[in-house]
This record gives sequence, structure tokens and C-alpha cells, in this order.
Amino acid sequence: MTDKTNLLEMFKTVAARVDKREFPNVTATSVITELGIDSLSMMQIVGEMETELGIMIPDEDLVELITVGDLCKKVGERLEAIV
Amino acid sequence: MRRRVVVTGIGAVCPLGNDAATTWQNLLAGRSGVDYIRDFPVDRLRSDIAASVKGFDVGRYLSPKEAEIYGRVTHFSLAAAVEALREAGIVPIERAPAAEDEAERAGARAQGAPPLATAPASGLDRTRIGCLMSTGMGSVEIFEEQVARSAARGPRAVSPYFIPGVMPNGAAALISMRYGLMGPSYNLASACATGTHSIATSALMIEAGEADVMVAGGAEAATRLNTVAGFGNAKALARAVDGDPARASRPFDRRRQGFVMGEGAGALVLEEEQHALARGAKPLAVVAGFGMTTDAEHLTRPHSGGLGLALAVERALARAGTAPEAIGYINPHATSTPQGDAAEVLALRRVFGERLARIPISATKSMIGHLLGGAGAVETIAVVCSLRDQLLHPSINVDELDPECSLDVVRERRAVDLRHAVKCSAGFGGHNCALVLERA
Repeated sequence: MTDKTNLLEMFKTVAARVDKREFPNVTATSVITELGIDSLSMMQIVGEMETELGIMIPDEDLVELITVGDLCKKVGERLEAIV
Repeated sequence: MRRRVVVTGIGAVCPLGNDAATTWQNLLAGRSGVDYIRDFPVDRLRSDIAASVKGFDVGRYLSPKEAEIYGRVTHFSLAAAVEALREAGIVPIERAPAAEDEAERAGARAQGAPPLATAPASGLDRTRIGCLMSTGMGSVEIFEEQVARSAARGPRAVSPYFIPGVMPNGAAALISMRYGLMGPSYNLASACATGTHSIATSALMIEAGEADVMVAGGAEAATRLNTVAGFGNAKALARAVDGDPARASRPFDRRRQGFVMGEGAGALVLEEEQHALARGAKPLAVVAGFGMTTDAEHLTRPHSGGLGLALAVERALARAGTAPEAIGYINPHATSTPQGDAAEVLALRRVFGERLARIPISATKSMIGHLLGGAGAVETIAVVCSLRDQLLHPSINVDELDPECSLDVVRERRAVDLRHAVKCSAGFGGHNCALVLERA
């Protein structure tokens, strides 16, 4: 589950559910603000991923998220920490 | 000279129609919007009926994401406000916020641009246009849903939009953002008097020179399991009569037994008279006076002698400079509870004396149920339509008038020569508000 492709796919699924629109062309280098996802929606996406994966991402890890890949990396680190 | 306040636009979403014109035609026809509840299990509730909005398409006003953030009460508020603002000519019709506009704005945001405001018509000072679209209870379904999420999946699953979603000032904020309205805007809550208080306070705002135009009104969409349980357990709700939900709401009838929860919104554009005339807007009615008082006696029971409500009507008449003898129609609060109606009749008798029995009166709640925070707004719209069209809508379900309520209840649509009308509302908490409206 920690593999990067799976987390990217999970992000796309969760983001589509949260923002009520599809994100077909998202890659790890996609810049979050350029996707039209505002900060509260981003927190909602993070909360959904945390709840589904059973992890908690500390606020300090969320300070400088620029790309979707940045988020996936933080999620991956937390998943490894609990194994 | 005092600044006069006129109504230049109306908009409604309610159990009898998703716009003001349809609602008014159905009110005139004496139709009922009450039916059985079908949205959630009702088997252990004390009442299983409500007056619901039907066929409302929120996609005409909001993107799917926005529709999820804001609750149903805010959807109705926005739709009613859009209709009223268009009719008043405050926002150009071609710039109305349809879903396409929203998609355009979402695209602009995605490219890092600030959200586009759908600005008021040219020549208007948007810093002097305010919005008092209020709700008594806020977004009940969002509260229910998010509490359930937290219980089932833990606090991290609670939406970050929970707070802005449930805050009762959400509608005023949304409408102000959409049109760039920078005058005073907030939510005013006084339970079932909320809509009327919002109109009165908006009129006061214009009279005092704080704004030239106000979008004023109220909304509610609180027909949910816990609210129906709460009102039902307080024994405030009516049940179907002889198996017919449409006969349940029966103000002033001997067999009245409580109110029927309704949902919807009413919005009025109030405007300083010279401001309206200068831009060629056509006034529909005049908000001539208002009175606001409090029973200061009991949390839910109306003052037994109707003292607070009577004082509100007297103050409204005094402010309008209108004698009680001039009033040709009353649109009452008419909760349809045994105590509420009796207290209201006593209140009105204090003001109008024995002549009360000869003043035409009709209860909008007999057909649309009780819109709680939206009630006073939609009911005031009915009065505005009466003054505009010189027609009174009927009050249905009065099979046998309660002898304690000796009134001239309008049973069939009636043509009238109407110059002055009174609208009054009372809410849990003992809050009273009355309006005097005049033909334009």
C-alpha cells in the first residue's frame, strides 16, 4: 500500500470524492493550488486519507505541501512508521 | 424627512413552488404543500408529516462541491435572494449565477485568479447594499451528518467545512460574496420570528441611513429526524387529520392540534424609496412600520394575554402613522397550536378591539406549514402580493371556527380594495415582530 503509484491513485479518488469533480491528469509533480483545490478542501482530503489508512499526519508535515507528490511522500512515511 | 422603505423584489422557495409567482398562484388556489415524510424513518416519531420543497435543483445555483459545503437552508436562501435581486434589477439577469458561471469561476480559481464577483448592476454603490438573509436553526442536516461521521470514523473524518457549513450566517456570506455586496450583512435569529425580524431590522437599517438596499428574509430546512423528534416530543406538531396530511395545519379551527414543519426561504429586496425611483425600479409595496418586542415571560409559551405581540403591532402602527381602523388585512402568525392561536387573537383584540371580527385574516401556514425561520419572510411576501394584486389568499382547513377566535377568516380567494395590512410573527423565546405594509 505504501507504493507511490497506489497513493497517487488514492489521492485522485479521494480528491474527486471531496471536490465533486474528476482529476484524470494528476501526477506526482502536479501543483496542488494549480488544481483549484483550496486549503480547506486539501485538509478534507488529508482527513479522508488519514481515516482510511488509519494514520495521523502531524500538522508540521502539512506546512509546505506544494505538489501532490509531497503529500503522497508524507503519507508514505507515516504508513512505514506504523509497520 | 424620514427615509421611506419600499419593496422592489421578491423571491421564494417553498412547499408550494420554487419561485414567488408559483407560490402565490398556489396560495390563491388554496392548495396544501403538506404530505407524509419520506426522507427518513418516522416509525417512532409523534408526527410523520411535513411540508417539503419539491423538485428544487441546487445545480442551477451552486457547483456540486459548493452544494455540499452549504446546507439545504443556504441553498434555498441563495435561490430566493437571486430571484428577488433579479426582479429588483439589482443584478442584471444575464449575469445571474447559473452553474456555467460557477464552472467559469472554478476554472479561474484553478488558474490562480481571485473569484469573480457577479457585480451589481452598473451605477449602484455595492458598499451600500447589505444582506440579512437569516435562519433560526442553521444547517441541521450538516450537524447530524458530521456528528454521525465522527461517531463512526473518528474526529479526523469530520469535514473542515463543518464550521462554515453550519454557521447560520453562511447564507448572508454566500449572497454577499456572489454579488460583491459590501453593506451590513449577518444572521439574525429569533426562532419563528426570524424572517420578520430580518425584514424589520433591514428596514431600520435603511431608515437609519446605514444602507440604501437590503436583501432581507429568512429560511429554514430543518425537517430532520432530531428536530421532528424534538418538536414532536414537545407536543407542538400536528398529525394527519382523518388520514389526510393536507388537513393537518388548521389555524383558528376548533380541532387544531399543532403546527406542521415546513421548509423554504423568502427574500425581499428592500430599498430606500428615492433610490428605487431614481433608477426606475417599480415598488411593489411600502414597509411603512415595524414593531419589535419580547414577552419576557416563558421560553416556549406565548404570553397568555398576548401582551408582547399586541405591543409589537401597536408600535408598528405608530411608526407607520397608521390608525388601527385603517388596517384592511391581517396575515397572522397563526401557529395552529391551541395556545398560540388563542393568545394571538387576544393580542389582536387588544389592538383592534371588536372591529377585529370584521378584518379579513388568512393564515399562510394553513397551506405551507410552519417555515420557522423562513415563515415571516414567505408570509410577508404573500402580503406584498396581496397589496400588489389586491387579492387575499384563503386560509384552508377551517371546518369549524374556534368560538374563541371570532375572526373574518378568508375561506376563498377574495378581491379587495386594500391599502394597509399587518403581518405579525412570534417565536420561541417570546420574541415578537410586526410589520405594517402599504400599497405602493
